[in-house]
Amino acid sequence: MDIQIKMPDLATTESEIKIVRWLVEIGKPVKLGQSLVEIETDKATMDVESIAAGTLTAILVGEDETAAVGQVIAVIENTEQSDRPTAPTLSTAPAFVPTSSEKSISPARRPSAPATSMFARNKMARQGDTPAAPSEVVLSITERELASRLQKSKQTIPHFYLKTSANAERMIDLRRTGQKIVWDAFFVVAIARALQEYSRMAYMYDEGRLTPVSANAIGVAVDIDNALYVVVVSNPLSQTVQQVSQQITEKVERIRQGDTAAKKLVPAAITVTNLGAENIESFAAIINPGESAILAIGKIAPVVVPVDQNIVIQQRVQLTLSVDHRVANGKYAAKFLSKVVTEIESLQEVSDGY
Amino acid sequence: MDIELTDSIQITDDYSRTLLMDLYDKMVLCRQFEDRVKLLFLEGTMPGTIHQSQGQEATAVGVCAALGKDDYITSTHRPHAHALAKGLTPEEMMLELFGRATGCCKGKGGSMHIGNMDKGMVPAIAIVGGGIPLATGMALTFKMRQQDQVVACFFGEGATNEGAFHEGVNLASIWSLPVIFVCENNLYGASTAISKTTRVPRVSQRAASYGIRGETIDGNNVLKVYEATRRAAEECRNGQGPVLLEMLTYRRVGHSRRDPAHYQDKSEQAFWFARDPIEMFKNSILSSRDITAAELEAIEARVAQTIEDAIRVAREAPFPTEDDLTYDVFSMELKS
Repeated sequence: MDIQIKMPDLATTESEIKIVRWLVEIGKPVKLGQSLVEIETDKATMDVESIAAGTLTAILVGEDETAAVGQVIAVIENTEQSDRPTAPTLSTAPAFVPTSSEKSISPARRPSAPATSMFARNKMARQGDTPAAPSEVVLSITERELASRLQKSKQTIPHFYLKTSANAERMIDLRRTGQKIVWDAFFVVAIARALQEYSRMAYMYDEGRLTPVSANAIGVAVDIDNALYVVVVSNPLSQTVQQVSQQITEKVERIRQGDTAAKKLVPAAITVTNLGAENIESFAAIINPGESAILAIGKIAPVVVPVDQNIVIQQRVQLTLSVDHRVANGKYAAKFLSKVVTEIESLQEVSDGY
Repeated sequence: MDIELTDSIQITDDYSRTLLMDLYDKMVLCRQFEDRVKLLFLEGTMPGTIHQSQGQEATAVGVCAALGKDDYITSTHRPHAHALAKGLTPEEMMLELFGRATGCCKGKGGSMHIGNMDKGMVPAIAIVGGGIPLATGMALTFKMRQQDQVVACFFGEGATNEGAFHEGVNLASIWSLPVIFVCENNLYGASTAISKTTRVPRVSQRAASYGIRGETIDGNNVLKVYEATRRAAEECRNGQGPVLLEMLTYRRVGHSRRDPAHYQDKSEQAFWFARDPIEMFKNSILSSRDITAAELEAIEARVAQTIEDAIRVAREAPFPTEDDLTYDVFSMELKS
């Protein structure tokens, strides 16, 4: 008889649970109570013991994938004939775990992504695999963590916003001459230089005190496969724009390949976020908790501007700085932003030590 | 004050064969019940989280074996072994854990409120230290009614830093009430080591500040627990109570099912796991008395069958109905 092994309710919140590694191979015998799989909940990693004896015949959720509580993660063919306990089949067991509205997933039809992820759902819907009717979506652990951080930021940090624009032609020139440089790299370097003069922007508010941000680093928000991450550029002042660009590209690649260490949230002084590529003129971002500000970069577009009594067409970029008012006042933050603009507009040759 | 933790149990001829077999039977019942409940939880059919007591069987069984049928116990959020040791059946408990109307608390108590007053167990009190003043109150009743009963009050070492401990023990002390305060010291209050919360090395030392007798016992030696409880019960019945017994023991599992107990040091685990209360007792009775391994295996098989039977019954038993919702909530039934 096939026994379905379901993800047990081992998380302290209703989050999804990750499979770290399977401790038994398919086709191998399993004893009752033997450690079957190592999982990672919102709180800890732990071994899960087998609820049945027999042979492991199928693994339905692979390593590094997540499963909802109650989701079938493996199948054990029960070969034991004694009266010892065996897990009841689905039909007879009154389930107390919240069952998702998903159809039960047979091994053959298992979708490649966690069934509860919104994107997996949309994908399935496009493939005509599920009915189009909208249903509840359970967020993944990472999505949930992000949601709560952003909510905390917006509710507890008094944001104010400064809007300006900068001449982008220096950056465009430098990109033409050097290797391909990601746009964010220019801003990371500009912010790092501006922070030397306006060091208060590298502090965070902490219970009535300002404490210096522990890391000498600038963050860059990136969206990878519909998930939001912040990659961090360490010691940007000691690097050229090219090196910074390289560091960003490498870290993004590591995240894309599923490197969990690269996904880890690390502190930075200020984060840069950029929707220029999405054709957004300008926008105001939410501060990453633990930082003083976030710089939102819009698209670079030609603008008619008066220069020395002449009308010229200039490539300009819209910038919006969201600032924690507990860390800095308007005037100070405005001076800081002006310095960032000056730096962007006066960047030297890529090879000149930037 | 310090005691030696040996890994063999001295068994003299004073102990009857029946007593030894009973102690083994009960400890195996506690262990198998908990192991089986763990699987039911993993399988997803058992609701709620569960605080389990694998490794602490000797304290529950040794204490309850030394009490009379009329004596009471109070218990904690980790009550399964206490209940089984006090005589609740696996069936009435399994029914309760599955939330069925025929459970010992009619399916309304669940794991953390399991109990049966008819069998001398106040439904378990999950609030840490909450049972201590309650046990004192029960003992006051016995004294005022001039009844010859005692109450054994189980709590963990974490409870000894609660205000309720001080108030309850102090009151019992000034009135010389028949309470045996049984501190099951498994070294961790949830995940916090006792050394981080308590400066005195032994909980039993605290007895001195209440002017009562305190004693530390190897809580994994079921006979030491049994003897200490018998002495304490006798003192209580003679009007010399209360007594504080600290029983050193160890959880083989996490605080709750969701806790992998990573805070337990590996060498500490190795020391205590090698002193498993059931294995130690088994080896000792096999080597010192005319008890055979086959007899003990027969006990294990019978216990396993009893538990399977209980699960079968519990899975099919009815849930409480909506009409049951307002019963047993107030001391007087509400008339609609």
